[in-house]
Amino acid sequence: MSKVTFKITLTSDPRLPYKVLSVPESTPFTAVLKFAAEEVSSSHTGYGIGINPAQTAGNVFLKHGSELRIIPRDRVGGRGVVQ
Amino acid sequence: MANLEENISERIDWGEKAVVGEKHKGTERTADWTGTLLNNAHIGLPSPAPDVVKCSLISGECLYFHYGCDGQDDRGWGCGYRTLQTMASWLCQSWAPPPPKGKCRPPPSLPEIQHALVAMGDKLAMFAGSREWIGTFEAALVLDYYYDVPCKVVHVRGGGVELERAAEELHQHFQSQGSPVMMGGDRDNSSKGILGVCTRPGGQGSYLLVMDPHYYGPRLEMTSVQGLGWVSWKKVGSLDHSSFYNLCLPQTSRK
Repeated sequence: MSKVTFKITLTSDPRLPYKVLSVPESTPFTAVLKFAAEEVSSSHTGYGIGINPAQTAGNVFLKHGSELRIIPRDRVGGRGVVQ
Repeated sequence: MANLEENISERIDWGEKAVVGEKHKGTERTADWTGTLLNNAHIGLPSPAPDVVKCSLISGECLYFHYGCDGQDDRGWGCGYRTLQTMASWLCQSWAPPPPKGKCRPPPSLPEIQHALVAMGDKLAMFAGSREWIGTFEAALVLDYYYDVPCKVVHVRGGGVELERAAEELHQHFQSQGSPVMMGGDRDNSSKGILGVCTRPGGQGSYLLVMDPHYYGPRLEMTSVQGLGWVSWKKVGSLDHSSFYNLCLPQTSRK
């Protein structure tokens, strides 16, 4: 079984902490997200990777490559700066 | 469905029949109504400064989506959805190789965007029909869902230096990918469509070509859209330095 390797980086931290994870390519990407949430951004709610979780790790690797970035979600709908 | 009936009851009558189609329902979609929208609203806009040394713009064409443009009154919550629709219009009109005429998937409606996020499990069922805000994260998911286009989401931590670094990232994006970009933030909760970037020499800073989706009113001609500032060059330095920003960059060159 072929494996794919991801480097998962928490981009909101200036130190850019990261973890490297290798999984079989058939692994549901939800498992990778769970790992990222627990290992890299455990204290950060409202964060994510921005990739549809309903696919395999292998498919994500083909479409997005090995570098995954955990980012804080933005929300837009207003008209400008929150005071 | 009750939610669709609410959407119909909020339909706007601008007094111009060409703007609002007679059958505007969330699930009845044709590409025809988008012919009422302004195409390439940025064309002809002069350079932001006489000494610009590097300028990068979108390739191809996109439509100006804004509050209420399809008959649904989304003031106060829909700006992220509208910028997403502008990006989708570029995929439909300009992504090479171009799809056969008439086969392009038109930009998803606001209900369709919400449906996709619920279908992917990113949102709970109650999100459909709501006025809940979305951001670049959701835009990336939706473009992948409807167009099979992955997006790179770049996080800009905030501050002048970080924002200028983001300008360089945007130069690389427009030169290699060419698609419009969505920009969203936390303290700055106003969605921005980014169609280009220009940089002045000697560290004097950069400008972003911003398509503002917050316009609400009858269809404007290009001279008015530009003259009123709905599409305009904004100094990177004028952005909120205490806000973080995310940039959603569609990756189409892999296809």
